[in-house]
Amino acid sequence: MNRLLDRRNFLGRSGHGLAGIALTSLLQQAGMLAAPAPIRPPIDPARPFAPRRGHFAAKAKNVLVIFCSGAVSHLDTFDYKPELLKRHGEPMPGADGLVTFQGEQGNLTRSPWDFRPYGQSGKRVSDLVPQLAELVDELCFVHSLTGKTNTHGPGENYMSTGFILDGFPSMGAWTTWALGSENQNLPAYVAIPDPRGTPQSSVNNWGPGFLPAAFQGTDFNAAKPLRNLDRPAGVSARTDEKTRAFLHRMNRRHLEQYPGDSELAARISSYELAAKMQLSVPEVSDLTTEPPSILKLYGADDATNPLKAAFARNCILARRLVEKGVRFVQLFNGAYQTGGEGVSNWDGHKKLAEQYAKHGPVLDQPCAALIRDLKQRGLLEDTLVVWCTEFGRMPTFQKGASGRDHNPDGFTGWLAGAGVKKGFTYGATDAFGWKAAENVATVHDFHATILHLLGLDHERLTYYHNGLERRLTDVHGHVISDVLA
Amino acid sequence: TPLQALNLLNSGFVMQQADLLAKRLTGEAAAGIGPSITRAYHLCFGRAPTDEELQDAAQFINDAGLLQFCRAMLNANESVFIP
Repeated sequence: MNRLLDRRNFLGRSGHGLAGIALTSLLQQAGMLAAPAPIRPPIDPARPFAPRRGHFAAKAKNVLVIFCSGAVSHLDTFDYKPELLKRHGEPMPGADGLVTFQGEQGNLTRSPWDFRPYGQSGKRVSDLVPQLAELVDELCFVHSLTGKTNTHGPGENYMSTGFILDGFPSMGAWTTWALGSENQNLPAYVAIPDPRGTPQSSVNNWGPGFLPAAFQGTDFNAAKPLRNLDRPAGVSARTDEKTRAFLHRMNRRHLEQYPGDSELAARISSYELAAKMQLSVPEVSDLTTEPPSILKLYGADDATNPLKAAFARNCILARRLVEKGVRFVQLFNGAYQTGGEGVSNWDGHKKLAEQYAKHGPVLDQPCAALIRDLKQRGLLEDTLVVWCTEFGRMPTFQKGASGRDHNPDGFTGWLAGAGVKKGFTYGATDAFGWKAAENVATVHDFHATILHLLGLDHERLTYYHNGLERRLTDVHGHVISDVLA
Repeated sequence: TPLQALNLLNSGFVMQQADLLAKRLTGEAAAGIGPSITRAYHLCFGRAPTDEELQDAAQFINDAGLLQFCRAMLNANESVFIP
């Protein structure tokens, strides 16, 4: 048991190890390894959010993700299926005895909303989202997305982090780790939760996973300011400033004993950013400087629909953040904890028509205005807009119910702005919209494409963790080159 | 992260702890600013302050009060983080 390693064995074993390392290095130089060499972002711990170059020239400088939680039905929004009109009320062929997330299937059911053609592209979009429909010539649809799970939390994780389990870095964390940010006074990565609350997997959608914690998304919205942003009650601005200065002196003296300690330098830099955020966050969240015309464009002045107005304010906030150079903004539509199963989100299991009739108008005008506003300010040139959801829904209604069950086998996402084709459709689901059938794409492909537009090679943007070079795309993903402009 | 910094600087919890620390110093240390500072350094950092630290802290307490000193001590890298 307690045998020590003798000299001969030590040399022999370490020799094998060294030979292995040498071979790996030679193979890598010869380009013969399956995995290309990682490219580590050169991060100065004292300035973790300094702007950094990607792997190659980027088409997009920043990203705005619009995440509709609850799983939006592609069949009632963007994926027109005439076959559903023809065969409404019939059983779906090939679905005999099919059991999905909540149980058995009823018959094929047409959308309660009509689809009509829009724009030059003539793309058909549902009457549920008529203002987004007006923008079809700006949008690049991917109709053939496929997921790995039919459960919301894992589905959100998959879309936001590339993995269905909790604890992996979100797309925004990867992006800001790689690229830093253009603005040193605001967080590099902001998540804007819906006025109704957070989605099902909540903070994991903007978590840093095993990346340095600094790259976690900072969450606040137009109604709910950042926690602990104000100085404590009874502390004057002057006293607060003196305390910070004193703290800074203590930390400097401490750092002198540990020269070059990156963790300490990073902690000092987060106090500096925190101090800047006390001014910059209230300023960026203050929408009173927006003219009435902008409030009207977004529907933020709509007194008849307070929820829509509240979401519209989040959309304006999103534009202001993009305008200020925040690298990654994640805007959520729909929440879980204030009402699952379609009440506060897109999870229309049982009363789809009734629930979507509420959710459609909340999303439609504010979101369309956001894209129009980005465009009119020239921000769409550098900004990639990504619209996504965790998965799609079934072409059938659930047995004995008036709504659609989960369907990860075929669903829609769309891109707009920097570097993507306009008025373009990629991939298709089958005749009923059940399964992706043409140019089938995975969420990994979607992610690889987004990173590519940011000038990042998804195979080389890796972080060594627990013995593995981890990627946003795991070991999968291909850039969908057909959608690139 | 800046969020952690904001929490440690401004949250009600940390202010409550700073207040409790200030009360403890007043109760445990001999009268005067010097002994309070030394006690705080022992409690928070496990060591005595240097002359420079003692002087800096004394001046700061005169200016901003013991509570702010305690707030700063709880935020200091030396108490939060082991390099």
